[in-house]
Amino acid sequence: MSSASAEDVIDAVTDVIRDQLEEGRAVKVPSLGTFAVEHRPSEPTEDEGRRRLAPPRNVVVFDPEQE
Amino acid sequence: MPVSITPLLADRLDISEERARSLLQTMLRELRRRAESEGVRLPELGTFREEGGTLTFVPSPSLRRRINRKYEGLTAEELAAPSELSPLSVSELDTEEEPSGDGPDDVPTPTPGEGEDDAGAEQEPVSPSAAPSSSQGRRIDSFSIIGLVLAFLFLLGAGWFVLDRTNVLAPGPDPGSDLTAEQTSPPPDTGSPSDTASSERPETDAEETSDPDATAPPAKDWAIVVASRSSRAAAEAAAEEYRTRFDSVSVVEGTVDGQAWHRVAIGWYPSEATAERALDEQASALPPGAWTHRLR
Repeated sequence: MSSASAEDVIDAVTDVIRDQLEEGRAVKVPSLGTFAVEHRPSEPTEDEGRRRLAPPRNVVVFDPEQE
Repeated sequence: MPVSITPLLADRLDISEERARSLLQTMLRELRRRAESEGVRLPELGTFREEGGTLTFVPSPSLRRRINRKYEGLTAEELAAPSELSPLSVSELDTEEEPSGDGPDDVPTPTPGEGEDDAGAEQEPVSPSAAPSSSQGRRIDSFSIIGLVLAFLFLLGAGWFVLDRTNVLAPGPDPGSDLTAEQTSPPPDTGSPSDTASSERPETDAEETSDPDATAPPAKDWAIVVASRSSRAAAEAAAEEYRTRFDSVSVVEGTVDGQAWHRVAIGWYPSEATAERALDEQASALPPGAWTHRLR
């Protein structure tokens, strides 16, 4: 690709970050921050007196880079 | 250890890393500039916003679903009342359990409208088979319990049938005839009192049992009891006294209220009527307390 448009760059950045996070790998974007995935195991929660067991899940965490 | 996006971006765009770094810096400058004002939403990635001098990021629903594919279909389980389990999808749980916060983990949810396009495009229905409800598990448990109970009852019946057929539990001798016969002399065919006897008072025989395995002939199991002693020696002594006057005298052991008694019996008769008749005929020769009794 000789010349990438702004849209191409945005799509490529999005795809790379998504692919890496899906694989469980953290991605560092210079001048922006680091994206990572953390696992949350199943845990009991309580909401309005009702106790529930939340299923396990992954969450995206973002650590911004200071300018 | 995080990987750098630059070489990956260069590979994706098929450009040099230097070129990719330059394009990335240009993009990020614009992103930060917009994040300071109204925020920037990248549909497939999330929303960047500058809040209090800190750049925050809220992942889009499609990104959250993508990193949770292995947990797709899992729902929250009600602990207090399992029957009221609500079929929430993983994405719904994430929305509920990620309230607005200041930490990187507790990232705020996107505002309504944000990410709706990708949410609509990538929304995956929750597979019922992937999330069996707890009521189904209870139904299976109930079936298992019923099956075990039926199997147990069947085995119990089969065991009882086998025992019944093999006669292992066949009833023993008549419990009312467990009196052990210990005759000191074989009874004659027709014995009858012929002399007087001492006035001894034997005990009652309300709860007495007798042994069918006595030495007396089966057809003649009635006798006239003239004395009863708790010890065998005393009974034998009394029997010796009666033997001087009667032809057939024997000592028969029996149990009354758990205590062994040794009776001195005279004669053997085929029926109670015969014994009673002999008792009446020989009443003068017998002690006043003599009575007829079936000792077999």
